[in-house]
Amino acid sequence: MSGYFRNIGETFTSLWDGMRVTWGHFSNKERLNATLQYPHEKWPIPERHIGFVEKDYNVIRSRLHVDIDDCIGCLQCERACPVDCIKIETIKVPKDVELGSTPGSSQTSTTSNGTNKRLLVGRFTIDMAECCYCNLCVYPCPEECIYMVGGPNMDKHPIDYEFAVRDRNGLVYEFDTATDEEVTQIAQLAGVADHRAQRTERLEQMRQAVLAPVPAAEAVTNGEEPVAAPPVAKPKKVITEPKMDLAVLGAIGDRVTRGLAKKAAMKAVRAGRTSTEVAEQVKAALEEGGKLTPEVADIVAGLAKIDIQQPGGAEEVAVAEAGVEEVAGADTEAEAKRAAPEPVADADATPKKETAPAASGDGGKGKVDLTILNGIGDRLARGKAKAILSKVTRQGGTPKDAAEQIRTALTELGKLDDEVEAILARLEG
Amino acid sequence: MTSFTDSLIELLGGLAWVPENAAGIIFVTVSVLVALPVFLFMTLNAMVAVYMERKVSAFMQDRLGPMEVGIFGFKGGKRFWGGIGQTVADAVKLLGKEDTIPGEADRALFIIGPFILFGAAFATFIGIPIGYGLVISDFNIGIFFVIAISSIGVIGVILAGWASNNKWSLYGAMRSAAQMISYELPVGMSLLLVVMVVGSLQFHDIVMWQEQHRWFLFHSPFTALAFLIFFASGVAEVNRTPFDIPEAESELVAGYMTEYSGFRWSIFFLSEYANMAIIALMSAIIFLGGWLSPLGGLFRTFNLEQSWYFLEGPWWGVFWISIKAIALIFVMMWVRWTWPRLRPDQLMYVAWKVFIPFALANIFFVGIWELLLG
Ligand code: SF4
Ligand code: SF4
Repeated sequence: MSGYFRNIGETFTSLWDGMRVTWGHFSNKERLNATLQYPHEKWPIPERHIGFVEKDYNVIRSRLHVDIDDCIGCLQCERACPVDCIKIETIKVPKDVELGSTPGSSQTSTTSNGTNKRLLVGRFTIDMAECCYCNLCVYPCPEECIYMVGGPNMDKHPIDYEFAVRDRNGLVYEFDTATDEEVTQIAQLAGVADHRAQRTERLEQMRQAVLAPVPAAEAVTNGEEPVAAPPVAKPKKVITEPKMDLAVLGAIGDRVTRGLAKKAAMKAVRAGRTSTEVAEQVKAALEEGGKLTPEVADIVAGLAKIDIQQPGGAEEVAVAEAGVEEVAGADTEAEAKRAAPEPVADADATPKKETAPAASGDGGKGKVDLTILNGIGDRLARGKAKAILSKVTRQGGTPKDAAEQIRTALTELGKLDDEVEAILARLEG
Repeated sequence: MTSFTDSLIELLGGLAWVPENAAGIIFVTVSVLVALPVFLFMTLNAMVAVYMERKVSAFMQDRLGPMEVGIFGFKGGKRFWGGIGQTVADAVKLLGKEDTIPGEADRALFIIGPFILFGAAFATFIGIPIGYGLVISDFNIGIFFVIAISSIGVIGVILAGWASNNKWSLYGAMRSAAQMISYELPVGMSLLLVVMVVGSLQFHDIVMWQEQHRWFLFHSPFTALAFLIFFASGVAEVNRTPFDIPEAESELVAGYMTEYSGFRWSIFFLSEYANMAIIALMSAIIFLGGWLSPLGGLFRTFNLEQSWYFLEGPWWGVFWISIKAIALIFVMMWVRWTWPRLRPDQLMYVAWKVFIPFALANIFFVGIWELLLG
């Protein structure tokens, strides 16, 4: 009985204890509140805190910063970067011109270490979305002007830990300070291509391409190749390689078989085969893969009746070329394209392709349609062939010369087979 | 004693343009006019109480609770009491939700379940005064009516649990039934001794008695104990922590509400908070002097001069009773966010082995107290 009453008493005391605790928290909410209403208020950056003090420098790296006035444009950091996220473009300043002496210049002629700057850094971007924070770019810099914020650099740059952006492009940090006029001016003085002007021009082109009205037919994708880019307005393309409607193969039920068949068919079509040959090759490929059933064979045989559209033929919407390497003119262009947002870059490439197929000889000096070589299956061989073709064309050679040279080169590599031969024949023709 | 309904009927009957012998019309009109304020009160109560509950729980756990949602562009106080539109937003969300009924459920029962619970809470409000003369209908058996009607709710709970065709729901409903029925007894008994002292079941009479004497909380140690038992059992009857085994989230998902969503679920919610308000209001009226000013009550307790009474009157009455009820609701929340849940056996132990014996003994001792000192 006494245990019963003691229990009741204990209940009250322990309950009261609990209530006291919660009341303590309730009435001390100002002091105890743990919530930080993040976008409205922020923690102050700790002055001395793990990760931000010198001894923890290699533990936590806040983000990269470049003191661009000290940068001599030596490209050491760009070369060191394992993921190639630093992009630098420089223009050599002519001997008689001192950097920063031109009117309206934002540049200094020497670094804070007293080194003379002989290169104008027209572009210095770091894509922090790509950066892996390995710190490797920091060590080679002769001027110690690229560094991770924090640690011993605390006094050089405030620690910044908010990286959020609405668009991935926002993570490309631009450190260059040179103005457009300055770049143009120095480029003229030095007699080299003005990459800023080129960039502006290209941006304008992209803008036009995006603004252009969407042709109705564009909405139709034939579903064979995944369309990588979101639908951006593209002008109609002239077909640059032979093309065949492979929709019949959709009747094959098994996914693996269907994939195999389409792949084989596409390869054969690109190599310039006739419909019957295409059907044969597909059959052979399926047999090899052990997927040839009588049903499938029937379907494949249907391919022989389908016409192949030859290049330069009727205007039609070409398959969106997702993986096609673009015409790479000057290196700077390719470079800029990589930095440009993906979908736009795709649209940007189209105008060039239009000029290409009919007039691959002398349409535009230094510009040639390389897509004809896309039919080459082997990557190494394709790359080599393309390099030779663009080089020869730039030097003013005919496609015939190029084909010859490619042939020799590929024979050396042991990559010259019937397929390639067929493509080269088309190139010559 | 006039009540809201009486005055309305009188008013309508006395109007020149209302035809004679129009009892039917008057009846319907009065019913609607009477139901509206109750419904509004329940809704408002749920909204405010949910907001309060969120804030109180947040502060007790060193959080801030809702801070972002505003209403009419006004978010509320900057530092702590922001987000006053949260419950409105939640109500809109709830009403916009898909109304799902499980395929194997007993459709008819599933649908009426929440409305029985709601109806019980709704009808209970009819008998509860919130100020002098501010009552929908003033029964002379007020306490009896309230106790009787509020027990109907358990039928809704059992229906909901049974009709859901879900083991968690059924468990929850069974526990709920066991709990509600067990705790009816201590509630009834602790009210009984008040009735014994006052000699009336009418709420107004009870408050009048307290005006003439003193609050029941301070009347005698036994009435104070009765208040404790009443309030604790009341918390148990509305299924709140530490007596929330019918909903025990950690074991029963959400008890009898498991299968409900959207509007039906919000009906449960509304009734639950309404029940909370009923318990708080009843405790305030019966033990804490109802609409009497606490200052006046204090002075009355010590038999001080009449001229010291102040802040009393019909509207001040509403203010005082609200303050008392809100304080009690706060205590319920405080308790909820402090104490852990009881096991079902502990729950039964508390009801049958502690509350009921004490309440019984209480009646006896109060009788003696009244004989000797009353
Ligand atoms: S930290 Fe590493 S990944 Fe990042 S820019 Fe430097 S070298 Fe490249
Ligand atoms: S290594 Fe230093 S000086 Fe050289 S380009 Fe990079 S940042 Fe500029």
